[in-house]
Amino acid sequence: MEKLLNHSRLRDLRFVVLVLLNLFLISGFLVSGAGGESGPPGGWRRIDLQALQTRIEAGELVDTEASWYHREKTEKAGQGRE
Amino acid sequence: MNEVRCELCPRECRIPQGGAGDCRIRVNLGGKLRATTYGRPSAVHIDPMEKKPLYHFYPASRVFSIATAGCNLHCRNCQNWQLSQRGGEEMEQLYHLMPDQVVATAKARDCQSVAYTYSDPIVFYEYVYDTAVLAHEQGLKNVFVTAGYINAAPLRKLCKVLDATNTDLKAFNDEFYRRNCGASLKPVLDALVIFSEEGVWQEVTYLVIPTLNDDMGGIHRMAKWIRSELGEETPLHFSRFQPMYKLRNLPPTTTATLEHARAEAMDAGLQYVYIGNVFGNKATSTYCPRDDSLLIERIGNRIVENRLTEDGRCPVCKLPIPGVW
Ligand SMILES: [Zn+2]
Repeated sequence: MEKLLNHSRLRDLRFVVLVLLNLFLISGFLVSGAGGESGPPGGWRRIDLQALQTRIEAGELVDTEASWYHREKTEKAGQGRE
Repeated sequence: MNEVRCELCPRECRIPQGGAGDCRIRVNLGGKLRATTYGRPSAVHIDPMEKKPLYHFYPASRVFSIATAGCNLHCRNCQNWQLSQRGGEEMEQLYHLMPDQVVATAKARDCQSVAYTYSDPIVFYEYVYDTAVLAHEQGLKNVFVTAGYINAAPLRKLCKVLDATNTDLKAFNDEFYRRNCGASLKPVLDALVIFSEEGVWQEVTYLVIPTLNDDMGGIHRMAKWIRSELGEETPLHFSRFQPMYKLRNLPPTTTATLEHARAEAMDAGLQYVYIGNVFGNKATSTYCPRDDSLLIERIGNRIVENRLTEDGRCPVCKLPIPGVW
């Protein structure tokens, strides 16, 4: 009897977790892309560095130094975006 | 360590080793920022000047037009997103066209100008600058088609080698810039003023998107701002939106809305207001603001008749028409 009770509680718990997970994912979706861009990020992006380097080595792209930048001395850059 | 801060545009991205700026093409390799698409355009075309659109700058002349991948704006309605929202390493097509080759090819193809366009040439700044210097040496003009999201110092330097710009003013509303382009309005307004101060011939384009920036009050305020800050002679182009990229859910702009916007802008005191992307509309042509004579008749991007005098005046009342003729 007790075993049966535990089993049904476990099932309830699983169900609740599943519902919460769904709500979390739905809210995540609504907050992200669906609402459009959300202002001027001052961030940076992760890119396919391997692909870039391969194409630079092949001469299809270049590593010409840019203007208008300086080296940072302090703190760390935030999380990059894809 | 090895982080760099790009100071080209208002984002001022702080980029770690191996990362790219928000624009995707300015990459930190070995603690130095690299312009990875320098001399590697992905779009190369010859267009008529009217396609930029520039209506008061060498009408009907041929423009050698180039663009590389990347952009520092992320407009949900971008018509060139396959170019602008990608890094160089994602492009199928990469031409080898160094600045001297751009200039030589433009001249060989009978072009009078080089245009930096399609994506936003701000992000391939060094390529633009070096090409523009050589173009001037060879007697070509430089045309910059941009959204104007750039810092003041690099823009002022670039202006010294530019002859004309068409700048997109995407809305007169910071919220629109934030939600629709991932940017902000103020730097764009500053850039418009800088182009004007630096003596670059300037025309402005406003793409009218149903429900997003077609509020006539906003359009009227924008036109008044252009009049007071850039001058009443600044040509303004209202362009028709077509559903694309992430804004396929909205309808194309109606001709009535475009005509209403034009009336608002003229009511605010602007003298040369055009409607673009609407075939056969009379507001694609240029009229004398004094006596309403037809000056340059256009159908689409084609000039049917140019009645301006040789020195750029109305043939009827002799009013000088602003522009570079
Ligand atoms: Zn006249």
